[in-house]
Amino acid sequence: MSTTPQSFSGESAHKADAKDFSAVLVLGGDAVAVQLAERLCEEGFSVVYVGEPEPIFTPENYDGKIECIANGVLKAIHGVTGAFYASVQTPCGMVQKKVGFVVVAQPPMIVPKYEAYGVKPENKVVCLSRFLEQLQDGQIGALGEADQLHIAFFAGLDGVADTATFAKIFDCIDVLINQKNVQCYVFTRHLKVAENGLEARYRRAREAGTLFFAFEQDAPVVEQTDGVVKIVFEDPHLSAGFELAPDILVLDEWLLPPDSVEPVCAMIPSSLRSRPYLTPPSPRFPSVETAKAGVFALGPARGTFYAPKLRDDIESVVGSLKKLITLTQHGGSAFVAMVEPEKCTLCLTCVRTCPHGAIQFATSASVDENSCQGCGICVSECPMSAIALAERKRSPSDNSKEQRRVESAALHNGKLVAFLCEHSGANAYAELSSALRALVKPIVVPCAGAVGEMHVVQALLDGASGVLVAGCFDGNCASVYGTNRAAYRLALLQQTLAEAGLNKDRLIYVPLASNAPYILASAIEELLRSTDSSTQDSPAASMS
Amino acid sequence: MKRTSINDLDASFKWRVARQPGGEGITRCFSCKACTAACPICLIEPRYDPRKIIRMVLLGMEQEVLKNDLIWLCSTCYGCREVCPQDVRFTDVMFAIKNIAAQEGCVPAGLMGQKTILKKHGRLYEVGDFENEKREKMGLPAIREMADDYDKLL
Repeated sequence: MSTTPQSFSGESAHKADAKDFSAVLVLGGDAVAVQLAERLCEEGFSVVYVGEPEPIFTPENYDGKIECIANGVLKAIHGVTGAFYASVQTPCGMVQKKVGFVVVAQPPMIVPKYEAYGVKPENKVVCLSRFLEQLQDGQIGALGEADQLHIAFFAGLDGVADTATFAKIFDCIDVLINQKNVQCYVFTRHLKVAENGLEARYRRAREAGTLFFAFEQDAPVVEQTDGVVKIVFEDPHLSAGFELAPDILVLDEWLLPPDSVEPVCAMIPSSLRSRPYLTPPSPRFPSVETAKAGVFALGPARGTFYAPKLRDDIESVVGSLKKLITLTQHGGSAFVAMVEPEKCTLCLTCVRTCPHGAIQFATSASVDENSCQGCGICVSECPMSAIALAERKRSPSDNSKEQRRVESAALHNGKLVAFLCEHSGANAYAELSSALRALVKPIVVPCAGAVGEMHVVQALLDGASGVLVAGCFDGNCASVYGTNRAAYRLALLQQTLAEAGLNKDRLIYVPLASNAPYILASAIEELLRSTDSSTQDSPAASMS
Repeated sequence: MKRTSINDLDASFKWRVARQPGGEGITRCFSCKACTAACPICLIEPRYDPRKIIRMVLLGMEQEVLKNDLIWLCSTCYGCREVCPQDVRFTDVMFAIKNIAAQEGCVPAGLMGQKTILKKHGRLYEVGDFENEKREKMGLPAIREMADDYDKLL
């Protein structure tokens, strides 16, 4: 399993090693990660657990299958799914591990909002986690001597509070409602309690007498002078001024993703778009999956903090791991990028632009087949034209996709050419009326980002009267930023055309969704209008 | 703006209302305003707002609620109860509030006058010979005032 430290000195070493999909590196730190590690063992994986404090694994039969590097910190990691090489810093020096998958499952960073609310911590002002600890230790019981105890909770008055914050507040209230003479107040902007299980707790808290204030505009002001804390606010229902001097003011906290995932982020170029989270903000990615195959983010690392959802995340990780292992046998997407080593000059443009982190390099760039999603962004980015998309061997059920694809953009006879992303544009095109469809020559591409300048220019040279590129909406792209790259490239090309004295309106970029063929239809009509007046300056005529 | 200090209010007032028969639902309210929208009184007199009354009770504004003549405007149409998604049963809550107000002696003078008439005549207006003679001419039986019965009830 373990490799010698020498093999880490160069990027070339790992190409020789066989892939191993049985070991999972779990970056943990709390009970959720321990639960995940145990769950993975049940599924037959072996686990390398890294994180402090030292975890307690319960059943004995996990022995041998969980390797625990307690008090370890991940310092560096590289590689692709099946062969990740991790360097872990431990008190006894660096430890190197080779694993097949990486799961980031660290607990969140919790930062109290003292500054956001402009208050100083003191006896009467505490943060939520601290208060809950005090309650669970029974320390608040002593306060109950007063006639009436007013406890005020702030939840997301600076914006929005996470459901996990409300869950924690209800944890506190559950303890407090058993005490006499305690009156709880919750001040918030949005009562985010629609989450599974939370609404019933909200109702229980309300029926136990807790008062909720949801402010739409003016937030309460806290006056803090000489140990007296006063909340001044206008009740949203009565539109009347109130003030409350709480015995305890409990402030909520920012729940932030773990800050120790930099080495993992560094492996995924497109994680820049999702920082500080690891998973892309695109609905095309299933919950725990990141843009890089084999790297998964659970809970806080993907912006999920509510405990019941963390349990779902554990199952999602298990499911995604199994799915990935199945896919490695026949490939996930229809295409895979191939590098011609002779042409590669090691400029590393592809390494930087691959949203999936699928490209490694040694003497030339090389694409990892298991990680490549066949989006073709590297193909259009490569300045040496050293990369091409090749068809992956597929199961027969995928053949329908193949038929939809038009391979050659031969002579277009003055038609419009539409480059259609197979995730959105192609589906929208299929919904168009046959009259509209007849006006356009469709070319289905794996991602709008695969359409390079040369493709567009070639289409014009081949006699297309106009070119349309249809990609997904920003944030919907299955390759994170493919649609943005297409938009950027088309804008540049339009500028070049304009500078060359040609009609730049012969190119058009439309972001759309599968269920919005009307966007495509209006774009085609617009393109027809702008090309009608400009057929004279055809580049086929002027360029040749 | 004039501010009310919540510390000076009586947080246990809502429990006092909740302990009255019919008042149990008060803490279920999540201020959706359906009752206000359904209330015919609120159409005529916007100051009477079921939602606001509940809010004042929950905040513990005991004096402001009990000494307010508005609470006696409820016509017990049960419209609020029909629409309430939280089963607050506001009409019953109003009975509870009015009962407490009566115990505290916070009843408007007009209502007390009605009570005096009821106690004296057994109904809200006096039935004299004039009315009974008319009824006799029309073949209707005479009405007897049963003030004693109502006195017992009151």
